[in-house]
Amino acid sequence: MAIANHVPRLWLPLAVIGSTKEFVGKTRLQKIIFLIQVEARLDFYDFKRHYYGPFSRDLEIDVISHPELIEVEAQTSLTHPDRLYYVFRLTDKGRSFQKKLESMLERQTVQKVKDMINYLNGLSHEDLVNKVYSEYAPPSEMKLSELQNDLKNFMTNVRRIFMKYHNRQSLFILTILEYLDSVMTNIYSLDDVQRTIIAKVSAELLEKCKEAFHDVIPPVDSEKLRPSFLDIADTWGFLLEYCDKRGIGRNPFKLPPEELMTEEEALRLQKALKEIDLKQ
Amino acid sequence: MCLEYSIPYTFHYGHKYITIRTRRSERIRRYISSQLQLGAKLVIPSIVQDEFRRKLWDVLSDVVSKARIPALPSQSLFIKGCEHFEKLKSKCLEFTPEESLIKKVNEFYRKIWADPSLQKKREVWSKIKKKDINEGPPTGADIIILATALAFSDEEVELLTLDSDFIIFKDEIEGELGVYVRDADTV
Repeated sequence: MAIANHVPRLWLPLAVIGSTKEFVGKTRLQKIIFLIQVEARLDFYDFKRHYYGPFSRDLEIDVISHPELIEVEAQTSLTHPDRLYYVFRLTDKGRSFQKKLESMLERQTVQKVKDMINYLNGLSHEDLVNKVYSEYAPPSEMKLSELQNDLKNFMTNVRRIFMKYHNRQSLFILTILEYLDSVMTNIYSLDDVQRTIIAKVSAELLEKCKEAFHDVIPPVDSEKLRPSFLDIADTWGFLLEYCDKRGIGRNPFKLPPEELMTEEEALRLQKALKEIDLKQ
Repeated sequence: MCLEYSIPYTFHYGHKYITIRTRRSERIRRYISSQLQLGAKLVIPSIVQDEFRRKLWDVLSDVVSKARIPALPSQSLFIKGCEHFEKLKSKCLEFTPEESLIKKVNEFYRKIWADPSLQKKREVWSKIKKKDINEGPPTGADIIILATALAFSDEEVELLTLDSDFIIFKDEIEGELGVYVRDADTV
């Protein structure tokens, strides 16, 4: 994920447009890139709610401002002569630049994105729009409140296990849940798209933590846990970067410990550390 | 030992400072610093680096639960601990011992476990390590750590440790392998 975010974002529209001889439709391009970003855990473009769903102004600018890489042709609609539709094609230079950028990405990420492009290219415009509207509809207050309650209940369970066994595996899950809790606290003040993405990824992360929960109770089989913990860490990494970029939530990797705990808590930590014996 | 070295951290709350440390961290830091000033060469076996992260998480899990503080700061404390460890590493030589030295150490512990005169020491080991005697002799990282020290035994070499696998058998280690074991609790 970290490597992916250092690659110029232009790779994504180049990959989508370059997947067919000619790619038709501005709205379709926006929808496909929105879906790929969220589902492949990439965060290149910021999307806002627009007339036809999530829309990124930066994506639109990127696509029309590189004629040496992407040819854009406006054509008159046969069914609605008063309307224009847009056809995009990669130039030879665009294709070689796409390949160059692709070599900077993890192979797994590239494959995931290509699989998604193939799948999404196979959907009709109507199915594509329905997918965005049904799966990425802004969550209602009731749905958000349910998610928060679910999170708090699960957090109570995990904290109980952590206090009983104080092992690093339950600490990991608890840390993620506390992070989700801090993000969910701010969720009502966010715009529609941000709220949708955060609620969706948080719900997914919560489910993944629930699935791993039974395996964090001793005796722990670290090897068995590794794949699910890597998956959880990957999803958490996306959410952390997404929120951090937009100033949402408290990033425990960037903030100093004193900003994450009170003076009283620091004193308790001081006492606990003095009392433990690391002699084996 | 690396854990004790890496844990100290000072919190700043306005004009107030709160330093968290283990009971030995300051002493161990002072000792290492004085040895460096005397021109000692510090060596960290490569395997310690892998163990360090896992053990730091274990310690943090323990203290976070005992102190009843939120889990979220543990990430930040972990990063601080790793930064201190990286600083220590930058002053040290990283080393992986040869297979022949590992075999020699394995053989040394095998003999210790077979020696009837060392039964008392094995019992102490069993009590401290909370293991059955039959679960010994030590294996894995301990063997590599001692083999690393052994690689430097042509010179005056000291193994600074808090691990009973070495401390209990310090006389045998010194006599057989020429490695002086210093209990980090006594520095």
